[in-house]
Amino acid sequence: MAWWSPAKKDSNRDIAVKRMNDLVTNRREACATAIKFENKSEEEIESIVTYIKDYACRNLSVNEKDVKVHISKDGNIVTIIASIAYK
Amino acid sequence: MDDSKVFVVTSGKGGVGKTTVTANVGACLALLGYNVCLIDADIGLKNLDLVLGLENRVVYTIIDVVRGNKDPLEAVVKHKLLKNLNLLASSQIANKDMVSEQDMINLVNELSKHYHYIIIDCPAGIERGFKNSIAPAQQAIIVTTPELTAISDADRVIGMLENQGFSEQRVSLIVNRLKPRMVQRDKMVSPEEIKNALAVELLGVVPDSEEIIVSTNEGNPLVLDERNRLSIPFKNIAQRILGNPIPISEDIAGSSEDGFLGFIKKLLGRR
Repeated sequence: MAWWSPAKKDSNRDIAVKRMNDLVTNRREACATAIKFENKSEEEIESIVTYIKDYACRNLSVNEKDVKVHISKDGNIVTIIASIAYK
Repeated sequence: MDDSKVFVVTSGKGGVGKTTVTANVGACLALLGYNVCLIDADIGLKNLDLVLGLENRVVYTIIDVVRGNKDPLEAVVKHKLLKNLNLLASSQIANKDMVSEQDMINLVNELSKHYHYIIIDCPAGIERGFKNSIAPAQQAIIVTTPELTAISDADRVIGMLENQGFSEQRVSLIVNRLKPRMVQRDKMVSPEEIKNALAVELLGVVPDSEEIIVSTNEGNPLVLDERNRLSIPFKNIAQRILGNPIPISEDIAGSSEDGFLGFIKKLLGRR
């Protein structure tokens, strides 16, 4: 880029505000639900995750990338958190 | 006490000033005559006793109480200058797994009988220590600095609090280490912008100051020094907790003074 540009450059703060709003948009528009299972195999967990994603895409008109499924394990207990971001 | 109020001071990110806020807001409420108990829930990485200058007075810790070896009131230490400011210290050698959410709820239930305000200093992160700290709290105070890393973590924590059943009314925000001159020069996000982005009520704004380091070195909450300009935002925060609507602009009034006039004022304000 040339040293001189006719386009007005965003201030440092404007850039920060834009990035901040991008960062926090997910929480405000997302709805997260946690469910717990006990003694489930890897295949069963994987099929539940796939089902959640398919269901959200089919019935809630969201893209697959807007459906985030987080899995955490504590002994025999598996917690699945599905976060669906609506636009 | 029936009207005892339980706050948790949390942030997600470490080093944003949770412990400083806990100590100074607690001290302000104690200065106003309320019985206050601060709980250091950062097990294994305790700091609150240092900020309050009580590290040599701590004999028993939260672990002794949880194990049933000591009654909560026996483990609590009184501040040397403010007799109604108390600390239940954490342990340096224990780890977070030694305490459960139910332990914290039981502990706070017992302390609630004796104190008007209980303020829990939450550890950084969103793991067990965080969950233990928020379990007994009625209100959450989120501390963030005006940096994107801290704001992003604060947002994550607010989301987790919402998932744990904290309504909008139970969550408020303190913007710490604000540099008003950088905001004026368009080089820092403003507290209003952070508030709007995070969609939570603003409880206070604390300007950046070297005085925090000085007060920690001395082991005295800086609000004990009447002449210290940084005591104003903490006193305002305490008033807002009590339900008195002080405008947020009062927190940073005069804090952007710089240059020769600011230098002279700082010089005259020093002991």
